[in-house]
Amino acid sequence: MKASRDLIAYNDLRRIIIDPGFCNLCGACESACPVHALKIENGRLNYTHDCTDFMEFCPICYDICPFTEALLLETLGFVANAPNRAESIGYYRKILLAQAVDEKLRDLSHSGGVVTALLMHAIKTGFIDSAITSEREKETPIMVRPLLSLVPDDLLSAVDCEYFSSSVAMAFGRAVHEYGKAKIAFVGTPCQVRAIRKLEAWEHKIMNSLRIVIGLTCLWSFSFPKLTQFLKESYGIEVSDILRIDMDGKYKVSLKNGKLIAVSIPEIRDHTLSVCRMCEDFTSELADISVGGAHPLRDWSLVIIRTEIGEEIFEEAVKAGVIRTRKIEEKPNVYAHFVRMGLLKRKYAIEEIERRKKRGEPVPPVSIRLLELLPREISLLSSLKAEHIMTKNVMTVTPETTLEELLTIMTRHHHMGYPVVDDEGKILGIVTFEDISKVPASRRGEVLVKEVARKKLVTAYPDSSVMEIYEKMSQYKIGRILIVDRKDHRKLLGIITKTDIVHMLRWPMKKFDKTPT
Amino acid sequence: MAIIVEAIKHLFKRPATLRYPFEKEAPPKGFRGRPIWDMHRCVGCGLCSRMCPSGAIEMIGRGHEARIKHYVDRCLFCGQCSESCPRNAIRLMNDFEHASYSRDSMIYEYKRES
Repeated sequence: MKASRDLIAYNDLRRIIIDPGFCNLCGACESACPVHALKIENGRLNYTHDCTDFMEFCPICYDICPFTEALLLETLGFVANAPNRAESIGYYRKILLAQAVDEKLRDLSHSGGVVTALLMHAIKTGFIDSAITSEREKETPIMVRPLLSLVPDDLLSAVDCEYFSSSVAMAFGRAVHEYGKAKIAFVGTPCQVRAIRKLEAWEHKIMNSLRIVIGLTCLWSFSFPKLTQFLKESYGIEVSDILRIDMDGKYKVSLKNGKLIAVSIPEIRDHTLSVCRMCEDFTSELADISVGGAHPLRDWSLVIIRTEIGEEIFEEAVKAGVIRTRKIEEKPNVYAHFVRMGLLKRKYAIEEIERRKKRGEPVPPVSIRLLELLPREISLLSSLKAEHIMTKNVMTVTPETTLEELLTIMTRHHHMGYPVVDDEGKILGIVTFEDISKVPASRRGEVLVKEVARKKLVTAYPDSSVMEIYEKMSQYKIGRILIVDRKDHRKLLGIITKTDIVHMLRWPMKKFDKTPT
Repeated sequence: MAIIVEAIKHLFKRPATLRYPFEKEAPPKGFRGRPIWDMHRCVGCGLCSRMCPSGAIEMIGRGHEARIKHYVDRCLFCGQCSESCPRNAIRLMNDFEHASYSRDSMIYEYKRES
């Protein structure tokens, strides 16, 4: 990361994001640029005229690019007042399963059809006046392009899930500048949601028109030329023959002549956008509502409600009878699959970042931002003690719990790791979601927690500084640390997770208020 | 004849005009008065001074240290500056009484107070 910034943000943007190929053409810069110097045309970002003709100083396009480090903690502020927080899910109010009541929508979308039903209802009631989504191109159905929907029926052409990036943030700018829309709903993948949230955090003028942000879950977006070449060489498929691509553990490519070809994840991973391979966000952690597939249920979607406005619009749709819901606790399998995908994406991302760093290849600043701290943050973390931020009432499990029971507990409370504690309150080990996912689903009923729990513990004391704990976490590559008594190393006092630390960086004042003086 | 009737009628009506400056009416909605800068929102890009058709805005320095000098005597109240500001840092106020005996008193300066 560079210490000082260029006066014209585009110079930095080009050097750090565009030239190494990290741009995914979301188009946020086009809608943000005050002199309209950036334009997305024919699948690339064009710099149409020299913006220094108009300005001597402008930070905008670099600040709002979803792959730069600027404004990241500020964007967390939009969701951070939610009551709950969990690893690989982010901040949330509620997690549930939902589906559209209208069967036609479900058929069209090949999943729950929740987003479409939600948006159609919101347009009908006047809560929003337009929605930005993506639709398929007619000639090559797997390519997508942004779509601005003004009436509910427009949305029907945009009901499917997408595997390519489209310039939706650009469409947002056009909706404001060209259509004059004032109540817009935005639907996008995690990076696009981040772009929109950054624009909002920057307090850009066009963001007064944003009503609600709906995020989709996204594993990776494909690079179009790379994937088509790969499919052509390995399977002999022409792009124009592909009807759709599905994803449930494997990528399934459906052809127009009815054939189905399955491609495994590691095989296809090399053909994704390079920036996607370094992205850790699976669930659109900054959206008002996140919606994702509920594998193995065909007709349902998993919905994460994060903000008040998201809850409001969702409840309204449920009351009006366009969406029906189900509790997530009924289906621990769905939840387990969902979290496993999230952790998988994070694991791949961290591996890829380290690999690139070792080789000296460029890494998008957003990916390093949360791994490396700023000096200001280091001093804040050093001044805080573990006892100030640790969770004191830790949920524990007994060594005799079966993995199936543990999974049910995880689905209910959404914590990903539990200390294993015996009857006398002594810590025996720690069991996390990763330990469960190593055991095949069929054997989870008989395997006990004590068999898989990790005995080697990384612990800290209540008076260690948070910075020390953070360094320990990075050193051992773990997400949580147990806080134990200095005299009795088997006595559990509390737990600190990595999300606790990030949360505290976002809300330093709030946390300080809580500490006893 | 009709005009006399009309004139007599108006003798008993209230006046249509206001006794300005003793009585004032509030400007209508969307009225373009003097622009003011919210320097905490200003990023110092200088677009307003470049865009201004009458050259009424001067920006000294750049970035967060920038100072804005607004010459009301040159301003034609078109609202272009607030329109072009990417961050809504410029608002148009409702006041319209800018007349003064000296040009110096018609310069407004804005500076970011840290």
